[in-house]
Amino acid sequence: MLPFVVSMVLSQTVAAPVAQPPPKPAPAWGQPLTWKVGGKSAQAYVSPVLVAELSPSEEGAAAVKRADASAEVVAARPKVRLWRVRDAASVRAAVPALVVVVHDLPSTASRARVPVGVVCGGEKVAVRGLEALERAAREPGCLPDFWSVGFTR
Amino acid sequence: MAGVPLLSGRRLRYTSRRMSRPASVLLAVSLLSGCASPPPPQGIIDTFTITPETIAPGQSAQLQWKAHHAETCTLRPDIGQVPAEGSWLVSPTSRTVYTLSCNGATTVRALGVLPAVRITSFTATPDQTIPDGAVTLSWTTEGAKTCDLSPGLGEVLPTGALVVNPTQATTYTLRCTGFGGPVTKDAPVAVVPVTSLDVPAEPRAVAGDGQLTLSWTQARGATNVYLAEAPGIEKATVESMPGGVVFRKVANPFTVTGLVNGRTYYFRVAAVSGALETDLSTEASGTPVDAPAVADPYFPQQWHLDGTEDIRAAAAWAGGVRGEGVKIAVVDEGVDLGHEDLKQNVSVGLSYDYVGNAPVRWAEHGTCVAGLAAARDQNGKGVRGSAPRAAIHSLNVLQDLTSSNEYDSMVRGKAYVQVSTNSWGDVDDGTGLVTESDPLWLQGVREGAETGRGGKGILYFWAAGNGGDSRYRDNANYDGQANRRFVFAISGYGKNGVFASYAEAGANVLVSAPTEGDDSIALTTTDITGAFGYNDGATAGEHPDANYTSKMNGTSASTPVAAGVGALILQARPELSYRDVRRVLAYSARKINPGDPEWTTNGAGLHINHKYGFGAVDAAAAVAVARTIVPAGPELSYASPVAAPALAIPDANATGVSSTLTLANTGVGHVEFVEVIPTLAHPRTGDLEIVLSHAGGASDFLHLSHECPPDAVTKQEVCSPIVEYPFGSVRHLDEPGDGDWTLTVRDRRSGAAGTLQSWKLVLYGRP
Repeated sequence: MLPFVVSMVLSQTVAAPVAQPPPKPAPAWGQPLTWKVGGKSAQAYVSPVLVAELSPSEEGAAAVKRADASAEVVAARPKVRLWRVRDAASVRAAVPALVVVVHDLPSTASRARVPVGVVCGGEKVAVRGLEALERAAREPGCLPDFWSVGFTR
Repeated sequence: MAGVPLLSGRRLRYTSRRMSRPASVLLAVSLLSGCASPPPPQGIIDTFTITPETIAPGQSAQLQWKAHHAETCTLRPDIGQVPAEGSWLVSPTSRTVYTLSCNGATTVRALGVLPAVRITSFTATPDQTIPDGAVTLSWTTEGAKTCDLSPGLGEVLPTGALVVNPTQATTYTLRCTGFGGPVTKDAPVAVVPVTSLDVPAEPRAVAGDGQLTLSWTQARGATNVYLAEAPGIEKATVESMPGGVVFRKVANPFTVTGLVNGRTYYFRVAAVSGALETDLSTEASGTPVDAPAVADPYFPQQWHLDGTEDIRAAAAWAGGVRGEGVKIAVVDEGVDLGHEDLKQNVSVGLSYDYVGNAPVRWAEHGTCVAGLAAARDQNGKGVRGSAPRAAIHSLNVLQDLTSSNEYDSMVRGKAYVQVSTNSWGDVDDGTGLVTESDPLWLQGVREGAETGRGGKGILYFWAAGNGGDSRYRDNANYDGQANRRFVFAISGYGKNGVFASYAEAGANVLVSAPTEGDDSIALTTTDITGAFGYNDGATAGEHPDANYTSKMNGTSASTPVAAGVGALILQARPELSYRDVRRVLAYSARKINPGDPEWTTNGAGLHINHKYGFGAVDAAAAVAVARTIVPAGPELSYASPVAAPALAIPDANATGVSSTLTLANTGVGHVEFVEVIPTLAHPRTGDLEIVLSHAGGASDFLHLSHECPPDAVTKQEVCSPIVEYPFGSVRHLDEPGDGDWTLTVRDRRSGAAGTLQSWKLVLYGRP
């Protein structure tokens, strides 16, 4: 049986507790987001230079390009597209539909993931999670649902 | 506007570089000078080009020419007299052949014009049906580059047909892109509910090689097919019967592939329309039969199956073990399930598309993987897999790799999936960063190993990774997936029998299998049908048949080869648990490249090497060991106390610090897997070498000193924290759990110092 997937909008779920990156000119790594994974604390760092576009479209690409003409696609999959931009925070401010990209470490070399919701092991837990949107990823029995760039070997 | 004459409705722009006046003026000059000169010799056209050679309607192409021994030239059609050197922009609306004539010399060039995109037909037949009734969508187009069908049908060819089964009134829309596009066309279908359906009649099966074609008589609606390997099928119980499966809402006739020849399959069918389903039909049966064996033409090129450093597959096959009845999930980007050399082995209805109608052109990697595991043998087509009669299905999770999909891909069909081959991993391959797996993935493999296959556990084969020769010296132990005890990490070696330098070594590597080594001789396997895949059929050095490639490499290649051997083992001895199979693979592995200085012997007398694991996978030996091995019984585990030495690790010091746990009465008489869980406080963990030693047993290099990759923003070197990361080791297989276990940590680079704060061991095994 699959876990109950709570279809929450990502940026609401995970971006809310994240400290915003400092303003221009230089984007930098902010404070990490923390939650519990199997009783163990885990962290993620919001990328200062990557943004994610869900359900990629020509219109979405045009919006990103308008916000940052230097934006370039670094990973494209059917449901998510990652863009490298000069300043992720300002591009996300200009295009609210874009989603944060987080890394496991404050390093662009570490695994990049897009928070896309919360997965709970049971409907009751999920409902509680929905009622407490911001805290959902920290509810016992719930885990954040990330989209990541998987690579063949 | 001067120089932009309008001729025959086509706009032409005069762009001669040498002369800036209209051609009519030039003609007059030319005629005057001609009167005073002797006749010129025959003209020579040096160049006459059209750029580009094909345009879309409304676009322009440039004609450019240069001639000598000619004062003027004539350019047809429509342009007329022009200088001996010049250029014109033309914008024809259809293909046009231009002729340049210069004083007796003539050259011809054609300019192609693509048609504007147009949907010439798009129909739904019938345009009224019942819920789930079959409707055929047919379409033709002109000038289309891409087309897609909605709702939810995805990309389609520019001309084609597709059977759909709408459950409610639906307007299908064909959208095509191309010049002048996109264009769309609708085809509405009315759906009228019914209150009754007739039970299908006359079910019958026609036997083929590894397949049955089922048919029945039915007036309307779709059909659910209930199939099992025993008679007495009922709706409520079929899925608990041997081989029981339900194929929902299929068309008549329906071909089930991936079956075992000589085994009898039973089936009943029910008509279905929306929520309405009839009773089951009478039961029928069929028995797939062997077809005459026809040689696989490219099998001789598969050195990994038939060569000096092969996996000794032929000996296993000769014993009647080819993977019959074993189901392998190919977890990857997708598989070309219609490939000529795969389709007979495809388990119909078991594949899952995480995108929805993902086009097959995305499936090149998975198609190569699938062929290495289970391309059909003796069918006169292409190649063979290491388990050439195993059944395969595709889980294309890499197209949408969410945590929840990672979980799903590990447990989907866990009751019947026996082997899962995984030639993928995180993006950090090659970075040397220690990366935990996604917690939902971990939940999935744990569930699959503990409860899958009736509690015996799915065999998860996992690529060790390709970052071994990177600047950051990646290691299979740092990969949070390959590192886990629920999977079998597979490294690779080349045709020369030597470890591939890019493959990742590690204490978690169970066995190694063939791939492209440093000798650059890769594996031959299936590729996407036609020119879409790795091989377009026209690349120098590639396989001449575009349906195959001779360039498959990486631990992506070695892993499905080993997974096929897993299928052979389970055919020989299906009751073995995944833990038993781990022992089978270890005990049967061949000591390859015996001169490698890293070979050692563990406390149970097994040869072991961080690069090769217990050695090269050996199919014949594995099947032999599988037949005789005593199943292990329930798994025991022992978690040691936490040692908290808080030892300062001297910077740049080859001795380092050590901490010993003396374990007694663990109850684990035979270790199967060890997790070493250290916590280190160190600002640059890449400096560290971490070694676990067991008195009288093996020593494991869990982490090697290496540079960490710099962050692109700060340019600073960033290493992973090592805090309760569970480094996995298979190297102590069948050593006793009791005794002294010593962890040594050495700092091999200068400039940063830290502390071994604590560590513990978890032993898994049996009494």
